[in-house]
Amino acid sequence: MKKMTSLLLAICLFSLMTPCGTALADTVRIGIAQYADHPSLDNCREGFLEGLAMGGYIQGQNLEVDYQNAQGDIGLAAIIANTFVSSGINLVCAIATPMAVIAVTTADGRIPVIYTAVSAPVASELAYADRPFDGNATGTSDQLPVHDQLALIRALQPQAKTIGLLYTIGEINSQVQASLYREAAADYGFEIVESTITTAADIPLALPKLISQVDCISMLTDNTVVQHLDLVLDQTDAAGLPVYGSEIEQVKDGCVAAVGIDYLELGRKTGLIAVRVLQGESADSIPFEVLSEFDLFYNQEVLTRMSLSVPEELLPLLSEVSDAL
Amino acid sequence: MLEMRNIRKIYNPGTVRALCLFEDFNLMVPQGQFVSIVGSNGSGKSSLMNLLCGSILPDAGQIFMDGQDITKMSEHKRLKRIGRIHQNPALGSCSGMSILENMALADNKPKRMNLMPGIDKKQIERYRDLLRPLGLGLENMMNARAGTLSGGQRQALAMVMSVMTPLDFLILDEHTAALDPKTSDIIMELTQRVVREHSLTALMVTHNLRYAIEYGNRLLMLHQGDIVLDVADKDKAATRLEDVLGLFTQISVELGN
Amino acid sequence: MASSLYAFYLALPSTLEQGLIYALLALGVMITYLILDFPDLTVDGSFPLGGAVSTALILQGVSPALALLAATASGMAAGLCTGLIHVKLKIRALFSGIIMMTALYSINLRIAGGSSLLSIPRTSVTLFRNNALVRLLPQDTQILIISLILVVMVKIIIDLMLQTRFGLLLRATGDNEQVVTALARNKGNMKIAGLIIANGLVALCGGVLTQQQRLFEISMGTGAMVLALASVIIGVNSLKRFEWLRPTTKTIIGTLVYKACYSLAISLGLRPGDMKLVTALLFLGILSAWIFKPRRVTHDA
Repeated sequence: MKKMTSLLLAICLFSLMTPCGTALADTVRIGIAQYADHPSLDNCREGFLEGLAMGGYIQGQNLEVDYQNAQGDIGLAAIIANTFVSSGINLVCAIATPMAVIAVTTADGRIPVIYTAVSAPVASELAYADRPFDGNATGTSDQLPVHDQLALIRALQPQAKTIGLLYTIGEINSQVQASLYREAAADYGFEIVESTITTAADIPLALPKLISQVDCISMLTDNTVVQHLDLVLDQTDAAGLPVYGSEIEQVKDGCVAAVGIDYLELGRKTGLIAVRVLQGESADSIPFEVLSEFDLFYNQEVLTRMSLSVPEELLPLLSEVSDAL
Repeated sequence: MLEMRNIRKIYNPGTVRALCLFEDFNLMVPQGQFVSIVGSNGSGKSSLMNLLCGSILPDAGQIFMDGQDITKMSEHKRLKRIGRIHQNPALGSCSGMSILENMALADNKPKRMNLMPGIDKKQIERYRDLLRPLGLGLENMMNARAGTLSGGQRQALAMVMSVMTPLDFLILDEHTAALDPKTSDIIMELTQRVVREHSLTALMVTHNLRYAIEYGNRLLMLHQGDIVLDVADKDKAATRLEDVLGLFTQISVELGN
Repeated sequence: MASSLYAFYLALPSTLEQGLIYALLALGVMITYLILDFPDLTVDGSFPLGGAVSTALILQGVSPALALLAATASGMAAGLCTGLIHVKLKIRALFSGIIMMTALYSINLRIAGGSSLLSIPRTSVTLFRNNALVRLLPQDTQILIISLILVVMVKIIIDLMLQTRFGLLLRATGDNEQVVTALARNKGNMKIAGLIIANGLVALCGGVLTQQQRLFEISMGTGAMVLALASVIIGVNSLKRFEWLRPTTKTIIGTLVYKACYSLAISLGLRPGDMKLVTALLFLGILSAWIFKPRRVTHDA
């Protein structure tokens, strides 16, 4: 019994060494729960903090932020959500669909959840199509501009016939996007070939077959695949297969082009929604927002490597992006 | 009645260390006989017991118990009518369970296993009565865990457990070897009494030639899987310790001991 | 410091609820590890199995009780497989459990319809929501009371079972297999029976947990064995001198203590990602402080 007590004491003492701040009276405490570690989601987070600042909530002054990243691990995401909900914070910002679903379910209406980077809120049961939500949650959606992307691919690869999609079988947003692609592809003269994985480890194993069957690959906003884009590019570069991204960061990292979502802007929108909720509006009274403007990005270096080029008439619409580090 | 016919047992067959222990081994033990079995190390004493109980199977031959062929019968089925006391006192009872629980387990042996209460409160006094004659004080320690008992106490408990329910055969596998001389004597007295009271057919493997002479009405000496001495009743009574010792030494010398 | 303890205090009801629900898991592992002396890793697979089955059925509108029954049955089937692999194929206990645990990952994913994450809508009928019993109870205590009733019911059933002829034999099987054989009983069958019961219980816990948190995630089983084992060991070791306490009681208390330590660590500011290290340290401390079980006897030479 003595040993047990001393062991418990030891744990307490050890934990004491980690700083625990005392909350100031008018400080708002926000938890940011990010599902995975990749630039798109990071941009979201940066934008979110900017949005909050624009609404008058500045970190260090009247805002305390606890940022946790689940590294793509659903189990960790659940722990993070539980921790936030039971620590009495004012609001949770959940970045990416799995995190959003877990956060909303765990919070169970007790704390407002503002989500972002959720591609299909209705399909993920984070919003209702025909009426206001009842779970004290709202946010922004990064619905993919599928038609614009297909048009871009057609313009850059006039001869292409098949587009490959690689995504995680368990991700709702990916499943929804894949079906959008399937519906729209025929309009642009494409066929879709799909390959599904369960974990990141499957990516190198699934790619060879997919690469052999398609003329290019188009990225969805699948969290696992986006987080491990480098694994994809390793093989596609070697095979000379173009990969179209879903966001500017991916084009910087080596995708040939993208009709992209500006996640910084998405994040800012999210931050502004959070401001409204913090100031008293009910989350359920705010419908989720989407971006209506998209930018077109291309990476010249990669284009050249793939022996592709941007048609003259499209050049003014596109922004070049370099392999920025 | 126990019978072994044409038993062959080879250890490590097909390897360099192949040892043919039993080749055409035969043994018949009539009802009610108390056999002492002695022999040097490796003579096959323990293997014989294992073959009878079913923990190892013969390569050829048959084993009969009361006329029924049990050669292919699994060990736990055979042990319905065979009790076995091991050399290691810890094997005969459950260390983590109390004396009462151990005895209840033994008492339940012939009963159907179901969800009826495991311990019948009305039997506790009867259990005490079974332990009292041992003179070891166990009847006052019913709730003590078997693991806290001494070697002799555990062997005694094991024996009582074996004969609590109807039994035909008792196999004693060097059951006093791990005990001090005084306790060994007590256990041997107990063995004698138990065998007599329940009219058991018993086989006792022992290293102790004195016990082999003093107890039982048949003496077998094994040597390398063969029976080199087999005396019963009057002949056994007439056999003296020196004779047995002499023969024993002779075969041991042969083996290089 | 004060705010940390206050945070711990605020989280107490939730800690208690979690502790009670996870006690079911610990009780299952108590049966295999403590009573049967069988290190059963199937648990890491049968725990989410129960969760997957229960969630899949609840999403189809099946009643919570039936969903839990199905979950328990699925766990029992898993335990049966482990038992058969071990007894009939003579594969070592540890490996039998690992084989099943690995297979169950794929099976669980299939049961969940290919999704690694399933959430139950707030309007669904579960053990803790939208049913007749829940409506009778005061708002904030619903989960606590229902969990308590469940755990007490299960505990009583296990206690009674361990006192039956079957229960006595089960304990003997884990204590000394030789005795079981000497009693003319089939020790292999006893082991299988124990595995069936334990994994049924574990899967039941998985079902109850997913109904409570309205969430099934494929990796919820990772570390379940460790958590349960730590709970059992904490309970049994620290309460050793209270011999009159039954092992079930000790296990339940151990689970509550474990969850309290966990909650305390988080309240004191440790990050969620550090929790596994805390568990490991706790486990190490407990195990090195005590010699856990008396030496088991193996076969005669």
